Amino acid sequence: MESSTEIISESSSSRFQFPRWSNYLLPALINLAILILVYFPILIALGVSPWTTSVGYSPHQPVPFSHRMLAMQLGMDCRYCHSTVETDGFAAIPSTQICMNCHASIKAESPLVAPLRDAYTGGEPIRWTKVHDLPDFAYFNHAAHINKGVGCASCHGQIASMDVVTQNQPLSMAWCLSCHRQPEKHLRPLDQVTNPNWNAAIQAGKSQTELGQELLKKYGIRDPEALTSCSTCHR
Amino acid sequence: MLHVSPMTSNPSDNSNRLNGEPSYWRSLAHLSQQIERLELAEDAADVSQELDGVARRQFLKLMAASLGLAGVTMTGCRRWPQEQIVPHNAQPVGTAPGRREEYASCWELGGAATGVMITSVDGRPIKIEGNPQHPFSLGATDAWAQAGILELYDPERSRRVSEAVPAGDGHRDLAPRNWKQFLAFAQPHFDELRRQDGRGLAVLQGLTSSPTLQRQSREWQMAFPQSRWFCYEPIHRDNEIEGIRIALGQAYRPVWDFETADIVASFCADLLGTHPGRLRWARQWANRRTGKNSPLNRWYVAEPAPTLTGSIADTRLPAAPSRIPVLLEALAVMLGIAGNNGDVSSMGLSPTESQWLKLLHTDLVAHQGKSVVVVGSELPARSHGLAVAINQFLGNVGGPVAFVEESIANQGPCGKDIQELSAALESGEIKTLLILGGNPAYDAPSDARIKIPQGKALTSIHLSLFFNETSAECTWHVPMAHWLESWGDGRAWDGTYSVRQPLILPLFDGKTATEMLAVMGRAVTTHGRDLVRETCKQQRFLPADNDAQFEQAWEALLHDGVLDRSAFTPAKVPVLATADLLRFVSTDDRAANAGPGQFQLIFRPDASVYDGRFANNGWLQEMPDPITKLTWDNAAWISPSDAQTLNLNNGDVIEIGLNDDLGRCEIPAYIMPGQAVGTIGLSLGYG
Repeated sequence: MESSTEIISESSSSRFQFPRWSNYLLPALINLAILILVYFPILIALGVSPWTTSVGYSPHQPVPFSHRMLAMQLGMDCRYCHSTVETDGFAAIPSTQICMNCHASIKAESPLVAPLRDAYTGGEPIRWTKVHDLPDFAYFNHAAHINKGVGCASCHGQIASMDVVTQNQPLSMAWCLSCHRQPEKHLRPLDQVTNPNWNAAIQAGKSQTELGQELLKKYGIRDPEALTSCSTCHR
Repeated sequence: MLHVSPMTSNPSDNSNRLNGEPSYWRSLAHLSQQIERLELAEDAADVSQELDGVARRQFLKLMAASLGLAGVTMTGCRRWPQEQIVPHNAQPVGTAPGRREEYASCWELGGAATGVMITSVDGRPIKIEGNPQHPFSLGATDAWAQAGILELYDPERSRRVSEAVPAGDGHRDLAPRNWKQFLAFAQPHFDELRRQDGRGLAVLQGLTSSPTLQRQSREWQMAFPQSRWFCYEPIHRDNEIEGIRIALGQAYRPVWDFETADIVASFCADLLGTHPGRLRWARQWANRRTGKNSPLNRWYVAEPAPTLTGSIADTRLPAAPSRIPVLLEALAVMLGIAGNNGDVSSMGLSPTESQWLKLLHTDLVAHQGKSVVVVGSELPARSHGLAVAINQFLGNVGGPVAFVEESIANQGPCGKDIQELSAALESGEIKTLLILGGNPAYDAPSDARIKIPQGKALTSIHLSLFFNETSAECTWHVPMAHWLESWGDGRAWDGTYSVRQPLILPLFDGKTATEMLAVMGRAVTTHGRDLVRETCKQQRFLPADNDAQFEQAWEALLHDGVLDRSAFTPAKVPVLATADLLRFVSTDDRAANAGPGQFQLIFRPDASVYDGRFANNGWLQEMPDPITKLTWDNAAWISPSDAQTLNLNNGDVIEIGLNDDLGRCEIPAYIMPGQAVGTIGLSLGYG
């Protein structure tokens, strides 16, 4: 008896025993699974949702200005009003003076134009609400894009058919990078940059990729490595 | 030997090298920490783990926490505040929103102007750099000029005119007023004063090289012949102007060329740090350091407290302020121009001092005509006279030393003016006091306290950027326009004329000193711009015979910011006879060393707040003192041996009292290697 007891106790001491913390392993794993399956999908979904990126953001403006009427129906070029877009980083919202170049005689008495008249005859300038609002830590230069063949519509969408300006693209970093990695998908000849109805196949008779590759060389656009370097946009 | 590099009152010889690698230290405390750390590392191998590991773990913990929080609160995923775009009603021609524009202007400190180039975006000045076209400062600026941007936008700037009105029981209340209300009071008041020839009227102003302000000051004294005009700034060059005036019969300003000088001897002059011509001198010094075109030159510096100039010296001698004039005299004696047959044995020189002088003397004699002897503005007038004589004797005048017109010769002397003003205020002789900028109630010396009597007897008007100690004592306070908001002009150290143009309209309806004087003095024109144009016209600065040419030249002047070839031409100065020189040699205070337990106090401009005027500027406060690396504060510098005698450690608070009980202050001590024994160094501006 005595000797067998000894044998049993010896074998029991050498047998593997789960450490105490293993009791908590299962609840921890369940929590982790919930985290991975629920928390992160929600986080990511919220991060890319239009609610966050403001796609469709369409604030009320002080003057019921319609791009559709002026750019589409009347066929005005973007650069008549946004005159600095080819030379400066900021595409100027037109000064009241530019509006009045036409509205001094066209629809001069219309109540819709009243805020313009008030501003022009010595009042406060018009306060437009900014729609396409990049964060201040991102550097964006209109002229750099326009002069390399990126069309207005690539970022602003079909603005020429909008009555109220609406944000069309997410303007997120991933979105910026998607073009900086493959710029050829969005390049046009310089004289077509402001064309709202541009289509490579119809107007140039080539596929967009084919034309894009040509323009890439022609305009001396740098390789994606340079275009996606941090300091290109975060200066 | 004596070829001491700066700051080498170093206790141990191997201290410059720790662990076989060069090691730099900021203070004695820092050095001893490094040694301690090295010893620890040698004693126990895993100490280094503790030194570095903790920080890394802490970092990771914090990062994890902040990432978690970012996810929980989703601060990263919210639409930021709505922004507005407000285009001009009529866009000014040649401008575009968001386009960077640069304007030339000028800025003044301590009576000398610096040309600057200011970057502006959408009508907001955002950056100040030097004007590369400026022939004197050569495109350089200093921290004080650059920090002007933060000062312009300082929310604590004075925003409105105010008047102190009696409110019973002897107190006064501040009543908000506007500029119109001030004019309604001031113009009749000054008209009345004019009828009395300005009796009882006094004006107090800082040092200025501005020809417009100088012209207005002259016109003021004609309109108010009985009035008194005082000048005061805590950092001034009274002694220098006085000494050179005695020596040469007229106030001249020395302009040096340290690029062509092979030997530079500075007696207490902080040429690279705080001298009004510092930008130029620093460039010249640096040009000789490249060794490309010419061999390096040699700088000898004798000074009580380490400065930037001392820190670059090849041979630096720590010497108490009382010893420095003696050293200069001994040098004159050794050169044989100050009697005594060249014998300096009776002058009580210490072995270190005489060795330093011997080296300097040998070098100066070997480089006659290619050396410069400079004397700091705080040394007595006779030292400045003697420096003129030494430079003349060595043939340096006409070489690296030139004398030009002194553009602030008629201002001050500050020390005398502030004492007279103090006395005049006390006697009640002054009935109206106009203070243009500055803060005399705070920064006047303790033997000339400015106590502005409050009550009906005195009307005091203070024009100031901030509502400060002086504003609080005055009847009226008027906000001053910042230099980025105002028209003006100024002259650089060498006389180069620059104009100042505003980059933005006054944010708080501030006025400039020129506009105040024009309004009070009923000048024909009161607009800042017209006042400067008037000066240019009257003094024929611009090459123009008719109005059209003037307009063209004026536009060019505004564009360049600086007037071509407007520096003063070097004057032909009389040569001093050796027999004359003895009057520059003092006999009385050679032994004026402090007694036991007593120290000589050295006041110097602070690298951050200058004389206190930049105390509200966070950029400057954050900028470490170039010597101690202290920020946001000053300390009493004390030599290591004095600290040992007094059993002081860094940071121990000491009390400093002046001999004649004129003032005392409590201040932490800072053990400063290179500080002269028996001296305490204090920087101005921290109370």
